[in-house]
Amino acid sequence: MAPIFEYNSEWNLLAALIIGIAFGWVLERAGFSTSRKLAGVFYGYDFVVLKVFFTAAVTAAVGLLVLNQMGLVYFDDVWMPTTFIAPTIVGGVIMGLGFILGGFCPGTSVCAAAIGKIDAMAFIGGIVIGIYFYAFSYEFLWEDLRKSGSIGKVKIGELMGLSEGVAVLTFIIVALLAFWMVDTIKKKYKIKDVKY
Amino acid sequence: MKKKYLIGILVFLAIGVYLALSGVKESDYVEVKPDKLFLDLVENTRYFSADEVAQMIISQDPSIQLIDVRTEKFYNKFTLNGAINIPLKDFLNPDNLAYLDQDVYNTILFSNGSSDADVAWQLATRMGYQNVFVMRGGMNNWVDQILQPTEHSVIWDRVNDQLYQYRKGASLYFGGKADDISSGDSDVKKKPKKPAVRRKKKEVEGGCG
Repeated sequence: MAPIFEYNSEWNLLAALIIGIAFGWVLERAGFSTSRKLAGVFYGYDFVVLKVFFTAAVTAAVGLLVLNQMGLVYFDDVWMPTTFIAPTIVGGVIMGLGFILGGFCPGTSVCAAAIGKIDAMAFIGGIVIGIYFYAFSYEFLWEDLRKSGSIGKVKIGELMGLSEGVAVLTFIIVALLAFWMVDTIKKKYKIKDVKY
Repeated sequence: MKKKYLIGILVFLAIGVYLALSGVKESDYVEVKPDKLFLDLVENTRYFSADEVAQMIISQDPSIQLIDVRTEKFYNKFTLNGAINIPLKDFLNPDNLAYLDQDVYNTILFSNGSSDADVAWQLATRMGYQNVFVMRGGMNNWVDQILQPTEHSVIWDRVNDQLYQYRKGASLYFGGKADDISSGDSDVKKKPKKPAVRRKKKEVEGGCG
């Protein structure tokens, strides 16, 4: 198959632009440019974020394995980041706090700023300040943490001793259970869909 | 529950079950893992000695193919019987890889020393080709041991003596010149040896010529 991605190809920027526009458009149409919808998952009145992210992950996992079955993608060719346990937890907590406070995650804030939301623009300003703070305090604040707790390039299935296919099936079932759970919560507490 | 949700759930579950039952496909592109390559490198199982190669050539072993990875100049000057010339710089040429991409022959690589042949061996092994070997010591060793064997043996050392006798025979076969202790003139300065061209046997002629 023709290579989708090549290092140092001048088409990469163009591909990134097209994929980025498509991604932003889908995010906006899904309502992800609204901070109230995004923060809803934390306050328990809107679970679209959970559903969308779970669906995206399941679709990607299933798609990857189906393409592998068709002989189009091999796992050796797929880049995978190294997992660092402690830094991931700390980073996740910081990210989550920012998510609740600001009502956006980095991608959705850009998306919302593009349709003219002022809170999103302020959020992006915060991101930039955060990036500079991280960069300038890296040596004496973050470096040790950043490099600690590496467990290598592992997959969840591998960690649990499952084959890739079984892991994906488990993941699908977990996602469906999560969907069922949030729908049940919504029904039980009679939470109505909010119009934004 | 709406019908379209049910369909979506069933489709995902069906694909998930199918994926769980079928294994992950690995890429056809075989590359030897570093630990395996390391073992092969340190264990020296890739080497044939010049004696073993000579034995295989003399017995016309049909299972070997000899590849000379030296330059064409060297190849034209002198090479082993039946060797193919693939200079190291052309080693990755797809036409040349066809010689390696088979499981019929044991391929034996050789160069002047061992190092160029070793490089070629590593390339071939990394690409996953099987049954590739190296003639240890290369042509230098070949000349020393097979074409011009020297007498190290003493009469009570049967192993070395037999090896020497064998090399002497091989030397004659390959057109080299063995030291002959029986001639006794070892002080005589020897001319630089050239591999003699083997002449075709003449047909047996009539008896009453």
